[in-house]
Amino acid sequence: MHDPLPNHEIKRTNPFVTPLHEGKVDAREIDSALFLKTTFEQNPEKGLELLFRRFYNPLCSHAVRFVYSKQIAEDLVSEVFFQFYRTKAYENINSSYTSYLFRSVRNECYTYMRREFGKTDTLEITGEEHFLYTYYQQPDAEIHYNHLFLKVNEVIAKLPVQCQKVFLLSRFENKKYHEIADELHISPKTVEVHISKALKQLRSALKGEWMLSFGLTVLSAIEI
Amino acid sequence: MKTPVSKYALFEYLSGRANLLEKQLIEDWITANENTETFYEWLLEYEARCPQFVPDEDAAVKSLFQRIDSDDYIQTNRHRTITGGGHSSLFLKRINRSWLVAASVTLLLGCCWLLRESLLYKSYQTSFGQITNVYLEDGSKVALNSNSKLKVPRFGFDQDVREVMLEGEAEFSVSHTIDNKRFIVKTSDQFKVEVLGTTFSVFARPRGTKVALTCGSIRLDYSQNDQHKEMIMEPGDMATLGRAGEVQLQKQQDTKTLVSWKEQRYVFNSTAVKDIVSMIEENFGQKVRLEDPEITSRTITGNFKTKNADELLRTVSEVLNIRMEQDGPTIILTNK
Repeated sequence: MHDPLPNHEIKRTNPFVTPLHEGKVDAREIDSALFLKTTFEQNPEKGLELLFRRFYNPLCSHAVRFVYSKQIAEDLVSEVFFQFYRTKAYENINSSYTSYLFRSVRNECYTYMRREFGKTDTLEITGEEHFLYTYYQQPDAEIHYNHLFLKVNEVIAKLPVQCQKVFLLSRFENKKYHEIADELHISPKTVEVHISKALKQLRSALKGEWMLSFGLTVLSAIEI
Repeated sequence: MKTPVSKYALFEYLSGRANLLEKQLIEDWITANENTETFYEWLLEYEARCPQFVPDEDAAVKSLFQRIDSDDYIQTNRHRTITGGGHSSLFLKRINRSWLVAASVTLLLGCCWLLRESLLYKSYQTSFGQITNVYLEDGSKVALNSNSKLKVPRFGFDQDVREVMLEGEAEFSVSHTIDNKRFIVKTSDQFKVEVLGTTFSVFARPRGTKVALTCGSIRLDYSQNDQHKEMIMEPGDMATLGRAGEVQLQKQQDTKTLVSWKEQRYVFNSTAVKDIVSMIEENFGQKVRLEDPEITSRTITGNFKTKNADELLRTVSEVLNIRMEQDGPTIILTNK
């Protein structure tokens, strides 16, 4: 692993990050989960804040791999926490918080991506319904979501240098067209061309990703 | 654990660096139900180790709680419990969709309302200097003078009443139907000409409305001072609608002269120059200015055959011995 970041420090600040070489759940993990559970029972708001502070950053980091926009990633993750609290999902959670939250975020990202890049059946599934299905998804949904963000990553990596630069500034950094134009000394028109090119590439590369998952969602709906 | 997958291998996979075989192996491992929890634990660790960016956690937590507070506020104000929220929001979405449908329908109706003229009526329009014959589906013939517009309903023209609308000047030769269907020419909401089979001409322009009857019999329906009035016309009659809505009837007129435009012939019988000038403006779209008020009151009697305004004006100026000058789009008539 070519990690640019110092691992040890992160480990110390985040008790959830523990070495799980054999796939066993660490004792400390169980403790903190138990602690969160009791906090949610006594004071849901406090529980939510604890959960948020523990998971917000890694979840955003994961979400951004799908949507390639800091702003959208943060919005989607916040939405998951908001729904988690509002629907009182914490009351009947039967898996770990980690898998629940990651699943929900990945679902949200996927729904967002399909709406943004799939341009089909946007009315079919609302975020709400999707959220409820979190626990009834097919096993290969995991794989499918992995493929989705790896594909996005691949497409963006393959873009021509300048096009990639413009795309990241616009989407990831959320900069305005004229700001990018000033920064790179190009015309706003060129910025626009680069961005529409990148979006077009994404759209055509992700074309095959939506039909399969629509099938998945339907299956999970039947299961309920 | 069938195939022990190392955390390192998973990280490579998540970074998109796994080869096809490794990929297959890891995906099989993830698919196995007992590994799901481990997969997410490692995913969390992976994201914590190589974060893509560091969001502003404090600001995010603040805005989340703000949202929760305002949501609570809304919920309690609507006397709804938080658990009922899921349903209410689904309900709201449904409402939104029906609003969407309602909006589209309104828009469509709005468009239809705006386009109702062209949807409901077939229009015949003549440009300046153009004369057209229109044959209606009931066999009636309409000779439409220049710069005039005739509107015929697309639907139900042959039912009950045959009604057309006229702006400008036209001669109608209405064919009589076996069942005595009425034929009505509307020039405005206040003025209508009703017929049973006859030949007559209608002149309806901003400067006035005139009806001349050649043969048959027609009835004028008009309203004067909000009172409905009727007048029966006989052949040779000419009716003029005044500004106040009153109708004057002149007997024994040479009604043929009123439709001489059909042969592009202009018949003037002590006609004032100002009327000729108005006629030229109406029929040819040619602006004419009279410099001397004295010219206005002069009259002409004669019979001219012409196809354009220029020729007609030249003839008129020669007769009256006045000068004709072109000034841009306007023609100026001055005393010599």
